[in-house]
Amino acid sequence: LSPPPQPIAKILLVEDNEMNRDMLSRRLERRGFQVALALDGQSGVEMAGSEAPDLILMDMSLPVLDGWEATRRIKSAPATQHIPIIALTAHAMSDDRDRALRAGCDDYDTKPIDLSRLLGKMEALLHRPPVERAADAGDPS
Amino acid sequence: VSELEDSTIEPQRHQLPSGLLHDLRTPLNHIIGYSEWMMEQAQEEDPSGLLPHLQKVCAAAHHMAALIRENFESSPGPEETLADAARPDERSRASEPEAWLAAGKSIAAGELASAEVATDEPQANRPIRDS
Repeated sequence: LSPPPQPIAKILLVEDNEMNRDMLSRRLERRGFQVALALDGQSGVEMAGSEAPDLILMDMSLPVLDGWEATRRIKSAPATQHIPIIALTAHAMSDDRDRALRAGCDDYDTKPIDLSRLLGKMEALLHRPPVERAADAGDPS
Repeated sequence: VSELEDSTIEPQRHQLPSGLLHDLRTPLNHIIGYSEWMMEQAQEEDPSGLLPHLQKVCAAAHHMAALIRENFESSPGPEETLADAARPDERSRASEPEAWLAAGKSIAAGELASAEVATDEPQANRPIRDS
């Protein structure tokens, strides 16, 4: 008997740059992920609720609502606070990382994207038990 | 550029405005991402055609990204350094097409000039290189 098929993970990619969005969504879809796209932070917050993604990749420099505020709103809403968020940014200093984590992001990665490294972080968060995710979301530290 | 690449020079980081670093990284993200994506396609469809050319583009972009990190970022994030870019990534070697990317990164170590493109493409269509 072959093992049961893995459920397809749905990724919400919140990214305003068209080329970044096109390139990363193609590469994720090639690896079997289902990808939903949001073009600004406000849409990202709304789609986190309506699309119920398994994980969010969040650019931080976004129009309408920036990625830090969008993350805070997603993590403060009971319906979406369990969804892991990886910050993606071309701002690469250590304080940029700290700022993203303080906003509630579960992890952080930089552009240019190292896809192997990003996939490793996604896998780790996608396989983390939901109970642990919820506990982290409620942890103010 | 040759001065930046000279490993005998004492590493000296220079602060650039954060916005400028962001603007330098963004097009590199496009070049690296699209070239890696096209390499994945080429590996499946026509390994002897575009792939060697794409490897060179990808390797050069990785090299440029590492140069920017090592020279202009005072506290870089968890990314590859110039030395990492030069060293084949053992993790990436585990599977294709990541192994192609590792091979491309090794070209970034300074083998760009000597890397030969295995192709029957007419000379006239090859990219022009500075002598």
